[in-house]
Amino acid sequence: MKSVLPEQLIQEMVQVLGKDRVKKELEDLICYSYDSTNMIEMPGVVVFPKTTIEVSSLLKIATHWRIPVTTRGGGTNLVGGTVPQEGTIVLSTQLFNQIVEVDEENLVAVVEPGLITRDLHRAVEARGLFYPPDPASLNMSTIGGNVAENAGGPRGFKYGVTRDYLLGLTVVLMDGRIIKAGGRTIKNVSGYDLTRFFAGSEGTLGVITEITVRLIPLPEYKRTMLVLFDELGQAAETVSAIIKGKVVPTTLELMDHEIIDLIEQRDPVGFPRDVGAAMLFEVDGGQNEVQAQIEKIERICLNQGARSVKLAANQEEADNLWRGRRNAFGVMAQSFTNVYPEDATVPRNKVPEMIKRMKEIGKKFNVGMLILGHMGDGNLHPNICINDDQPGALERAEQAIDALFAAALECGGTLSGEHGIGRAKKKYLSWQFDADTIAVMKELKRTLDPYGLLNPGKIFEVDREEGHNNVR
Amino acid sequence: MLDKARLYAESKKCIRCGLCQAVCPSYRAMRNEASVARGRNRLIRLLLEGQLSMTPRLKEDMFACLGCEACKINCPAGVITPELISALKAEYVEKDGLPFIQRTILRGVLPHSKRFALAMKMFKLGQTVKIVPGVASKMPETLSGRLAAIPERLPKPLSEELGKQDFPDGTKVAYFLSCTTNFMFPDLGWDALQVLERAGHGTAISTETVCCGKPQASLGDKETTVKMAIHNIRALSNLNVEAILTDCATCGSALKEYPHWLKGHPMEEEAKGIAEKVQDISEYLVKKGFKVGSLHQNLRVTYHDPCHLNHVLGVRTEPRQILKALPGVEFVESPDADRCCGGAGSFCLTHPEISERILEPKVSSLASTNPDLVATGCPMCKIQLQYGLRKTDVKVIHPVQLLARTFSEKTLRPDRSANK
Repeated sequence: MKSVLPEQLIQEMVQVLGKDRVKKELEDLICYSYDSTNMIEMPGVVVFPKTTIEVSSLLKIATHWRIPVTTRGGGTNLVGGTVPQEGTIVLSTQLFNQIVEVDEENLVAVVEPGLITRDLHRAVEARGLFYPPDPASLNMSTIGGNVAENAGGPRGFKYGVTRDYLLGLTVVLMDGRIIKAGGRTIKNVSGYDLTRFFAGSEGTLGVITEITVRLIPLPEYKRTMLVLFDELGQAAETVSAIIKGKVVPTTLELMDHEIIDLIEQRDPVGFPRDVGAAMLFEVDGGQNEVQAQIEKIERICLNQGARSVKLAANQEEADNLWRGRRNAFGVMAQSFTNVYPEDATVPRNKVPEMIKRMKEIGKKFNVGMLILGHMGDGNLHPNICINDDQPGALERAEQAIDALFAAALECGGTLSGEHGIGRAKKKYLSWQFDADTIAVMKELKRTLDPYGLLNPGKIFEVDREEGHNNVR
Repeated sequence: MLDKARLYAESKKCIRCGLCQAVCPSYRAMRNEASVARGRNRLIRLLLEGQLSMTPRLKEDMFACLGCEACKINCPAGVITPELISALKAEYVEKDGLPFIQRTILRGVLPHSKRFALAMKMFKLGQTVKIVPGVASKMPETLSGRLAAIPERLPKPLSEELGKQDFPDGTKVAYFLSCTTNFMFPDLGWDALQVLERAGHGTAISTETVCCGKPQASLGDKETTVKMAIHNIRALSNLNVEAILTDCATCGSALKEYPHWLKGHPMEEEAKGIAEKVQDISEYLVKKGFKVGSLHQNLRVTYHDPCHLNHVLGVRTEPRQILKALPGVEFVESPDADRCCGGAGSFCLTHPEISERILEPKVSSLASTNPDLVATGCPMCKIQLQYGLRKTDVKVIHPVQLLARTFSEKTLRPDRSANK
């Protein structure tokens, strides 16, 4: 487990950053060997640049020595995307984290990549502005990481995802060149759209060092509604009815019976335990608009056979309901040894079918299949839950995950709505794309990173084949 | 010795979700994975697996934890990281011993009332006697700045003033005397007694107790920690009361943890009996009722949640309820009221740089509410916040003292003194 990096490479990095920002004690390497999956590999050194120039110098050094670099923000991704290759360089953006400016005249913010998403939310909301993307990890994840994974979140239904708010990026290429994509105008068609090209590139094309995002005015009102259903199927059908009814709530979150039951067992918020599914709606906008949406949603839900529709009376009640939703992952983690949160996403009219198939897959492979989801955009979160002391559980989980992706693709969907491919889903990429499409992706990668040094082993395999191995 | 099997099982529960990053004060200050529960937990796991040894560096990572317990109550998988860290700190102290100054203070001073009082006087003297060149300037500002929060003329310790207290029949409440109240802020003790008695909760102060043991626990001195706990359990077990109240979040949390400290010890059951009775004073007042005087104070007040009160005792709403009930007090919630102040007992002295980084945003969010007073239910937080606010005229006060002030009539103190 000792660092195998050449001492001279380390010395060159120390010359750029100083000793304090080049860490290679065993304790440091251990702490940067993992993300939120079960994949673990120890880097050889961890570096903490604070400027674009420093990043450029570091990448030049790494290219000279042909040592791979994995960029890392909060290290909270769910696909092994920030797990380095053994003995290589982790480039942490944690100290590269300032808000450069919030431009209220142009409604843009310019930030450094290590800024925590929540800190951007707070800074702009204090000025009556709004940056909508809200990945579940927003209290820990960084904007740089959000761009690299093109993170979404519950508000995606109404407001879209990270990509939809990107106006410009500064990116350092592996050879050290610094490029500026986009700018700070809403309309911008000069040349290729490199900004969006880097969104969701999972750290394989360059290191993002400055991000310009578009802001919108903060909505004046928001309200939360809880709708209960006797059957999961009714809830799924309701999603279609809502979309057909041309209502666009901010969020539309589904929790199935099993998750509600776990929440009520472990950290109750007062959901009835006998329901088949619960949906949490949040609507926002001007006061009249919010009122109109609430009425429309209530009518549609009741028409679809909802057991009850309840509007949270105040912020405290709303917070309590959302607390239940936020704790969903925790109560699963406490109840099972292994939880695999997936994010297969399907066209919205296929949501009912996909939900039905997911439950069938759970039964067939005898694994827990607990369903959450940002239903409005077809982004489902089936959680495959097992206890690894049961014989064959790991294999059955892997089979269930295979079946899940096959089903999502048959429904015309995609492997990943917001988590990315990383290491975990590499083997499925060829299920979704034909050979030519993947070949073009690889050609683009080679153009920017000819030696394959940026976050190798992510999205597609270059050296070796690997399955869905995020097994604890 | 480390209970390795239990610690290992616990460390394996971590699912590496990283949620602790959102709440850990040292992570926010350092932005380094070795400064957050997920990383520390992983280090402990590898230590137990034999892939890492007890290096000085690992020791630093463990002692740079403030013990606020925010990670524990926010952990989806329920990992008790603070307990793992405490166990490892104790292991290090067993291996390396305590530094001289810590050993002197933790074992030689804190457990002994008279020496504590003397030490306080010496410190205060060192700070105020500026005519002796060098004395004051040799004291680091981190220390002297905090001593400034303590009254200019050190009062007589409350325990000395009161002497041994009777607990006549009908006494419902024992008031646990925290060291800070006893030696630095005895007025808080008088005020607490006043509000309890005005509300008809017969109260006596337990002057036979000593330091709660938390300062020793947080520096890994398990031996003294256990001694303190045993002394206090003996002193408190004899009292026939329904509740033991604390005005110090840290003491309250320590008393609650006694059964855990004495796991497997013959006195474990007695420790449980004590722990069940322990409540924060504001919690008790809100539950059992309190009276408010008529004095209109015309103040804007915000509240800082002490970590130990919030995370260990689960007391959040009660101090706010008291503040909101006071005539003329306008209560304003500050952003991140529940974020650590960076004081953490001796942490602010052993890790001044991290402490300052945590304190700075805390002070700005308190100041953003433009308060006349900051209320907080912990004398240690009070010292740290008063230090942070030293360039303003905002004062920090315990909520119970603000409640006591509403009684414009004479306080209990002169009456009591007259009886003596």
